[in-house]
Amino acid sequence: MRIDILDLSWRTFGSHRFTLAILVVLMLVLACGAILPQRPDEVAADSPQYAHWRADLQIRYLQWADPLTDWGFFSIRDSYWLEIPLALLIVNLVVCAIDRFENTRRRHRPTSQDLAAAFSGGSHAPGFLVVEKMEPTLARLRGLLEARRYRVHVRETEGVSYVTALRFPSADWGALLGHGGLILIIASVLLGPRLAWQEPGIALGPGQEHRIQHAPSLSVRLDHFKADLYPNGKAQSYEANVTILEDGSEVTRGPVSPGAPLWYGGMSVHQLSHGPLVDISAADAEGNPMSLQALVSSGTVLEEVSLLLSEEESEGYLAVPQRNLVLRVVFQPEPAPELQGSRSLVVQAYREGTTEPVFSDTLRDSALLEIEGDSYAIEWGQYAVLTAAGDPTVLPMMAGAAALLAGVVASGVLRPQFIWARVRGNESLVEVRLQHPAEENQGVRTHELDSLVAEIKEEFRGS
Amino acid sequence: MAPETALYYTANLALFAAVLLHWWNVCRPARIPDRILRSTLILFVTLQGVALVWSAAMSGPPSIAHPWLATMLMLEATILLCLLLERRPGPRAAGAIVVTLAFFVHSYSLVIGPPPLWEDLTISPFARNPWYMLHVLSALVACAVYVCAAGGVIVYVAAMLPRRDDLAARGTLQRDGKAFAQGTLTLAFPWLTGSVFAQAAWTYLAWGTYWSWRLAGVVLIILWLILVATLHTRARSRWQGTICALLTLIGLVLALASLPLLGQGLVATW
Repeated sequence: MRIDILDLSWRTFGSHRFTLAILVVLMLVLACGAILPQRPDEVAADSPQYAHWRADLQIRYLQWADPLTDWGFFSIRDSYWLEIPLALLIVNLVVCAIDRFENTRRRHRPTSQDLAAAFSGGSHAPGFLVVEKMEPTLARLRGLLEARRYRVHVRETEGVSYVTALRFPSADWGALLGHGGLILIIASVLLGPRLAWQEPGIALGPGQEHRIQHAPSLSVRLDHFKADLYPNGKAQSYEANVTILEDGSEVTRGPVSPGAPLWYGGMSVHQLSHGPLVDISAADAEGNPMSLQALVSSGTVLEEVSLLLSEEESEGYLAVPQRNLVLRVVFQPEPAPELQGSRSLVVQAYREGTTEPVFSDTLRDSALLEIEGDSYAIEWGQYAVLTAAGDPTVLPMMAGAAALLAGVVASGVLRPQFIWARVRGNESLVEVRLQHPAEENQGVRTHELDSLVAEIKEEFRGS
Repeated sequence: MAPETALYYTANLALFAAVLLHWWNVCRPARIPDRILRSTLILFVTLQGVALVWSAAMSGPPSIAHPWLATMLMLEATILLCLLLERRPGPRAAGAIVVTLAFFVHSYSLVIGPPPLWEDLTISPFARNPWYMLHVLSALVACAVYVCAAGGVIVYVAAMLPRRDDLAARGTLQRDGKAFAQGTLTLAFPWLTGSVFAQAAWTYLAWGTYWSWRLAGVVLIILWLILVATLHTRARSRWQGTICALLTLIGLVLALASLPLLGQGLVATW
């Protein structure tokens, strides 16, 4: 026996069983992704955050951590576990769409052979007999179907009349539109990790600038930032103004808030979070500015130093070389009871080489501190954490989503209805048989056809 | 006790009355006029609606994603859908089962706690977004549709149990229950699809990526896949029975489990 491999593959890839199998696999893969911690997109493989994340995995999953990592269970979106089923689903959808296109075309424009085959010997099309001539029966059937908003065509072949009636026929293409939309969505999801980029965690105080690594000619400047906070320190609203510069010259500027990014040339700038920003400047007793140096790798000697603190890195240090002092600034995110529930900033000064502070104070707001005769202006503000992103697959995905929704609504709300009827007989007795050419949803639609036949039969009898 | 709490309790009483009347109508058909049945449901919808509007007005529209309020809004949508679906031909028992399920969930919510105090709600700025609201609302409607579809499925499963009824009556009940569930589930598809994509749009606009492994989003995608699988079972008559019923019930469990997760977005931060 010869097996037609092509035909077998076509039938396999287009079968509902295959669709169901892929759907089940996808459900399991997504469930794994939801249960197991997934590697954050923005964490680079050589970064300290990645090492921290890996260490956390080792603690939680012990000896299973390495094999699970190797098999890609902690980065499912980039793994074959997700990519292969999605690729197979695209194949399945394409095959189904082609089959559906062929069936839809046939339902809309059936040939005489199609009509004859539909009513051939094996068919169990419901029907009834009318004691009447052919022409009046045809005219009445046509009238009854047209009264139900069907578009009716009659054709005659070898003494038998075939009636094709369509209602909302264009909605039949809705399912195809939905399939097309879904293909676009899945292709976007598959290509997303390869084409999209993201640069999160851009921490900027007002006036500061950041060069975008993925687009070196572009940089982002924060012009203004304000965060309204709840008493517990959580953000209530953000208000930021951002300027995008290309080769140093301004190309666009505008407000950025959660859910409302600033766009420029395929790049978007999003507002993510905030943190406490402490600006410190110092002056001696005569009012002359003193030099300060932030104790970080890139710290330079300046007259004003900005410390960007956060809940994770809540301490900052700076040196006062002229006075041989080190200032320690600690942000306390948890409300202190003695400070009536507000967040606080602890400022301590140490003489170099000692562990006992020569000065210590707790602040709730900006303040001017006096340490050993010098004045230190502590301006307590906020910095914004932004992210820059570029994802060319968003537009195709959203277009696919719109197509899918439009297709589903069109075929669901304006459900296409097709009725084929065969009318044959002699001068005194005519047989009418009706058929529903839809291949899907037989259970429900056959039931509807039965009631339609009963209604038509009743009206024939009544008249 | 918050003032709207009394309204929720009164709505619970109205729902209990609706449960009794619906089951009475199943056991003794045509004894109770349809308008009485509908009136009790409309009373529930009105009381619950006023309470929900009150809650949303006090703590802001995004607060409807709070698990407690989301459950209440889902039940409101369930009973509204039930009112609409009762106009379509279908088994009477399906309506009674839907109302009973809604009553159990409503009572459970009232037992576990009162409505949240609006002073205690700290809503993240990310939740103040129309896409997030669209995502939550359409997910709630989809969950409500699942509860209604479960009514038809439970009728179908109950008709499979051996009873003294004649086979023809059981067959009709099974067919009607199945048709009711399938017809109802078709309604869930656009809502659930809309919810998944509204969530993708919200995530993209807020964080610059539409793909997220947040549990709320992933559970909704899995629910969407289950729904697609359930709708595909209609293609084969062999799958239309037990497999379809099983998938619908799994979907119902997942839909109810996803309700508390929707509130994750209220406190979302990067």
